Amino acid sequence: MNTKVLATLLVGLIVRLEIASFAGHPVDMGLFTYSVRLYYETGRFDTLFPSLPLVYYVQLLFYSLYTMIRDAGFADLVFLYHPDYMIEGLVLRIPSILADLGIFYLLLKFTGKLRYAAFYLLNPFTIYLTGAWGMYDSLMMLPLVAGFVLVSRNQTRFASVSFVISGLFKLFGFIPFGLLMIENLFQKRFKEFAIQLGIGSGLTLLTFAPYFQSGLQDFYVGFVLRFLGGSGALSRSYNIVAAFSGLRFTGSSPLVWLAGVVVLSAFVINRKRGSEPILKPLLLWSIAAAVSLDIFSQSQPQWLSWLIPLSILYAFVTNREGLANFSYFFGLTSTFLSITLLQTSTYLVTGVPSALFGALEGLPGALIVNAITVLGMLVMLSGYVFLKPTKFKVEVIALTSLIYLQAYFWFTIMRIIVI
Amino acid sequence: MQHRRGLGIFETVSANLVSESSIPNPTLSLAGARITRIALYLEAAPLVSGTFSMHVSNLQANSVLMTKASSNELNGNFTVLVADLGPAIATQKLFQVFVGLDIKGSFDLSYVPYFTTGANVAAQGYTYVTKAATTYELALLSPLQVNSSPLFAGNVHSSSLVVSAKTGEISFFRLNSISIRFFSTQSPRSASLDPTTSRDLVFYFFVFLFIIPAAMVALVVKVFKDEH
Repeated sequence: MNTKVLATLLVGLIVRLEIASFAGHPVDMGLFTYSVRLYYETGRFDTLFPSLPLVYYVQLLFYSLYTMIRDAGFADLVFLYHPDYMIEGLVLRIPSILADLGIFYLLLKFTGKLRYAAFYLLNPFTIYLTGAWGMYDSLMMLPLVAGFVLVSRNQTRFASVSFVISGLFKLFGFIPFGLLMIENLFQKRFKEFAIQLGIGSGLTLLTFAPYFQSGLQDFYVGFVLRFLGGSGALSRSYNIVAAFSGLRFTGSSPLVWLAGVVVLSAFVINRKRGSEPILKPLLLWSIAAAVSLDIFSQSQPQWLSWLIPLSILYAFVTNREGLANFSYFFGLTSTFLSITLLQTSTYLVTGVPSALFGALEGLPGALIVNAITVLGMLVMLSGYVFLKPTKFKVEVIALTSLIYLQAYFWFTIMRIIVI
Repeated sequence: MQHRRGLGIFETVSANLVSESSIPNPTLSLAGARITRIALYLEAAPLVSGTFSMHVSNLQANSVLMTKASSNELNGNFTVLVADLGPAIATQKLFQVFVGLDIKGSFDLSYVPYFTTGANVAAQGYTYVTKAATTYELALLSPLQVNSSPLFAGNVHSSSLVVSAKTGEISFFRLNSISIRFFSTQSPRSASLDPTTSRDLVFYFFVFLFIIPAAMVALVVKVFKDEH
């Protein structure tokens, strides 16, 4: 292997392992730890696992290694106020770390550029999510990226399988899958459409099978409604609409459905007008869908990471160097915003929130400042995607800082809106 | 009412004084106890200065109109539903409570589920609204979400599930399932967590999160030119 590639890979791996050995989101890691312990300590399958079942299966698989070393007498340690043990938490994150390495490999093979692959692997936001937080978005992104690579090779059937697997980790994977299905309908490839439908339904039913024993009501309310924005819980939303109005939507904002219709219509119109290969429009409208979700739905901070590999792929396909560079800056800024405005700098490290840097953390109006800055970056990213290719300039950093400082001034210092 | 944030406008505040009094005094035995004095005061938030005033226009004590039921399903018009779950349990390691319930009510019904032990609120759920798709709800309650207490609490010697309407009224309720989860968290280590230690740890974290990756990317972009 090329020494430079190996060096990049090792740095990406080491920083993740180092951070994962002590940091973690106390609530999310507590939830994952509870569910895997429940299975290995009592034999009970946790049908109330807080995420999609494929994540649970993968975690159970890797956790079996941990149970073996614990059974062999290994005594694990707790770090400060974290709910899980140190090696236990690390083991739970190994699948996501491996997925990050897999994405690095795919991007490197597809683009042939170490710089593009490094923009993903060494992006502080992907390191933060996988290594520090313990989130599993990369498990979804690995088959997502693989799907686009397969589409570029005209292997659409395998690409469909890949997108479905991606969607079974996080529902976003079903967006390119759905767009591919529409493309087949549009091209009157009904047999291919039926095969896709069969693959999607079959794999979905297979992964959900153990959940049916807990009763259809829990499955319907706990999964179907919750993940499709029909939950009855008025939970926290990070999007700009919720930040300004104080509304707590039951799941997604009603506007997300409007945005969905716009994205689908635009995709169909785009396909009607041109006969270019499917890869470019598929990537383009998947990016548009991710941006819409970040503006109009619950907009969990980790959802911003989906745009990083998609932007890198689109940058390569359309020769937009500036977009690839922007994706790195986007991740860097998202990490800063998430740590300072949504969590505080000590939360993932010590397990308890505390504002060490008073001027940056624990601020009134932090949600609004975050929502406005994120919106500003999403608009800039859309500009890089939809307008003519432009270089990444230092002015973009200045503009983002200006948006942040203006939001900070009006909503944190002046407090013109108090929610 | 402990540290309850004022809205700066005229508002009607309702509170269960027994539950509220147990928040600052969670270990105080309530057997034979009674409230003898109520004090209303305004507290300035940290770093806020200026002139403050509070105008109390009306103070009212409401009696509780209770309807007892022995089944886990009932119809009527209710503001709060209390399900007695038996003797109070220790909640030190309480992790989550999942409640499966069927609920109907007025069009503006929104409600909050609580899990209480004695007068203490051990876990609280989100604010829920009724859905068009189904009357069933799988509510999640967590100790981390406790930020209020229900207007009416259960028996001080019992653990209870309290479903308290925030707006509107409940017309139908059925308790389908309840799953109480405990988590064997280790007690925190005695490592000192003074600001200096926290700051050092955070800087260490930032080195691996920002500095090393950014330096490597700079190397890749600027130095490793022959990148194929």
